[in-house]
Amino acid sequence: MPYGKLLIIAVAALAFPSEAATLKRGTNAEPRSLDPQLGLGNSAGMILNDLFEGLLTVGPDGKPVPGVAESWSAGADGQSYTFTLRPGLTWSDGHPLAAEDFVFSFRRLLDPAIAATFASFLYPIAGARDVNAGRAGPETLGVRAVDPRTLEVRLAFRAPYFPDIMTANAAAPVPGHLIERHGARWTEPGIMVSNGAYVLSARVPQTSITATRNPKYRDAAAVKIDAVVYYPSDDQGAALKRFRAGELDIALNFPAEQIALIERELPGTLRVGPTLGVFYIMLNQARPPLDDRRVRRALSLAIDRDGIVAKLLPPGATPAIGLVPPTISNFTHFSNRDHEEPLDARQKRARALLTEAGYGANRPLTFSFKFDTLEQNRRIGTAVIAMWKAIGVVATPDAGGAQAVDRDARTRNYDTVRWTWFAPYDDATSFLGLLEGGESTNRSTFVDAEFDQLMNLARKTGDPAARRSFLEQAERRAFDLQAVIPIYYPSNRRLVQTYVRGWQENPRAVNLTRYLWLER
Amino acid sequence: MIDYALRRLLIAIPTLFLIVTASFFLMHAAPGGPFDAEANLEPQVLKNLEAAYALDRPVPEQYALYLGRIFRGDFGPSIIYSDRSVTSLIATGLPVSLQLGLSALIIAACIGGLLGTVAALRQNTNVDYAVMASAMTGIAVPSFVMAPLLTLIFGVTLKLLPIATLEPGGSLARAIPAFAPLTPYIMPVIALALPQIAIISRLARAATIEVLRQNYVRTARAKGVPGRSVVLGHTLPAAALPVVSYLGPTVANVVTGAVVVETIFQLPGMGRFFVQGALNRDYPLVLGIVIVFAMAVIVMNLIVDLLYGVLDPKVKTGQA
Repeated sequence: MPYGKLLIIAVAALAFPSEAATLKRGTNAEPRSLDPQLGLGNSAGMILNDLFEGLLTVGPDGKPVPGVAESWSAGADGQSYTFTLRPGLTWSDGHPLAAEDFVFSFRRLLDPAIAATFASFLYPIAGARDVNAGRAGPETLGVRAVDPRTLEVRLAFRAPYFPDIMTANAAAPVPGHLIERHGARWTEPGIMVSNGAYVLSARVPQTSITATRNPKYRDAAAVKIDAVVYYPSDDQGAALKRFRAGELDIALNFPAEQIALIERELPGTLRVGPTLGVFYIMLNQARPPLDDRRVRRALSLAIDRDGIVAKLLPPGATPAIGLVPPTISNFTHFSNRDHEEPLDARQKRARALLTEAGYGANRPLTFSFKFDTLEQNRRIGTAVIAMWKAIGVVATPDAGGAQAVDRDARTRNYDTVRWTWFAPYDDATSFLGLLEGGESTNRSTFVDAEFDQLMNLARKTGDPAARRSFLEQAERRAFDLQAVIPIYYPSNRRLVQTYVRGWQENPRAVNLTRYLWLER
Repeated sequence: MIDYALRRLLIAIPTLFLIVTASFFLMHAAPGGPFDAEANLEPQVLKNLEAAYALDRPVPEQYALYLGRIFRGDFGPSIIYSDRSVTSLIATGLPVSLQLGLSALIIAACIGGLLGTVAALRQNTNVDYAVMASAMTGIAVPSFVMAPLLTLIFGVTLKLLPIATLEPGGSLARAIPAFAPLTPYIMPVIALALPQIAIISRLARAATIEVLRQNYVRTARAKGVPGRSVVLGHTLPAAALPVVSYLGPTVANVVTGAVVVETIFQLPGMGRFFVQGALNRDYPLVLGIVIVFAMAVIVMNLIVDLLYGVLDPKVKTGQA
């Protein structure tokens, strides 16, 4: 095993670095791929954010800021964007980075043969769906390099959040000159070339991934940390132990039940913040008994959201009544007075609604509630069933594996089922689209022409104030019909050693290494 | 003997074929698919993904495709680790698992064998009771309790050893740099070896006691053969038989099945790939590991049978 020995020596050299500043970041499971167009999940996302930079990137606070593009403007009809690239950009191998690279990258992301999960991020681009379905050639995609520094994108519909999408890893450029030569092997250390603040230098499967400072990065002078080592971990308990022993500077996740120990033994390291996400319950409205709006309202009123947030969830989560979380920009967060009454008043109201709908002690409302067996979800499922029992509802638990639950949700094979959604971009349509007819993210059985009409109006209008108003009306409409039952907005939790500076918790949960520095 | 070995290996081919077939259809019968965890896939994206891995074909056709591939020695692409092939994943995981498993078993065989023999020679004394009591504890405490305990004591509290991965660390590595590359192996190997030491010492004790009562041992003693020669020359080879037959399948088990220890210590072995693959319905990855595991069991059983012929004159493997 000479290969293994070599690795050990290489790793030993890394474990005892000289004066150079090295940051040790814990991630989740081993990333599936380091190709920005194929990487999925938090682990890959964290690493790719350091390796690649899109037309836009995010600031220390997670808000979109100029990246490869120094500026951009929307066309008069709101259905086209022109991005102007910064001058003199290159890949880490010195090869020039031009608008043509984005044309290549966007076409590749939509190539059905690549089968990229996030191909749908580019669906707002004109012709994207046809290219992704193999119905049209890549050259029909609405992307054009006008000159090396100008990229023109035509959209299929108005999408004011399109620049926001350009911060995503999937929308980052990939080096065509390398991929043509090496194929799928281009992501191997020694071959890989990138355009972000760091370049890949070593990878030991299931152990670590090392990236070092990219001297060709446009803002290389401002980068303070010389090397980053990412440690994948599929065991949160092990990650916490490594953090306690000082083997990690940042831990992405930890077992929620260890909060007390962390606050006691690791003061000042816990960072909590809101997300762009929502946890909710979907109800099957295509058949009785949940096709009755009064029944759905009663089920929503009976839930003790404050109790769930305080007793069953790690810190930072907040109760949800509306589907769109308060972290979303350009949207007035929805609230409802009925749902803010004390629990006993709400239970009384819920019982009255059930009686009105014809249910009572002699004819109890019964249905099944599907949730997965992940510890936290199982506890919430059990609690919700108990809360419904308090108003005389008999919900039978139907706990299964996460994959089985996902499949049943996709095929609408449920009475009620728990669901979570994290928005890929900061816009209310990402959440309201979960209820819109014809949207692929819609797993609900909610069908309402008026809601769809409001969403359409919002998508068509060029006036931001009118758009916001239509979207807020759509949220109101969904609540009036109790399309789903939102429960809570989840939180991000990180452990960050106190000597790591520059860290700002943000809803997007993106913290680029180039904004951080160490002060021991 | 070579004839016998070859014949056994030939019989292994239909066995392997049956294992692959059963695993293939069981995997595909399990609910869910590799892309179900991506809860909000666009239908078109799902179609593209399924086409890329031929999952849109009927299961019998997928089976035929898979068989065709393994006959060409190709385990196919991994579904979850999309830029790696199953062969390359096994190639990185197997050496780590082999190092760990074999070190643990060699240590366990030496210590367990020694303890068991000593206990047998001092039967029903305090030495015997002490060894057997610790063995019972070793069997009773599972590795998922032992491993976190070890990390808590030697990693978090004493900071002597690195807690996870194969990277050297802890004060021991800094004190003796030459020793550093070994430090990450110490705790995982102990966690893997402890239960095996316990089992092997019990096996060795029982076997030794049995052999000590045999007529030929009594004869040797009566002839005036020195005690040391009786133990080393006459007792040990015969007493090793049950231990050897236990070690055979256990090698395969420890090498491929150290899932818990690999997860707790974050080691890049095959066990973790197996669990990740099974949870994410990565059919090619799981099948690839199953094939390697099955081959390991078959080969180890064969080696054990051949060793029997060497250790026990009553067994003539050549004429079996």
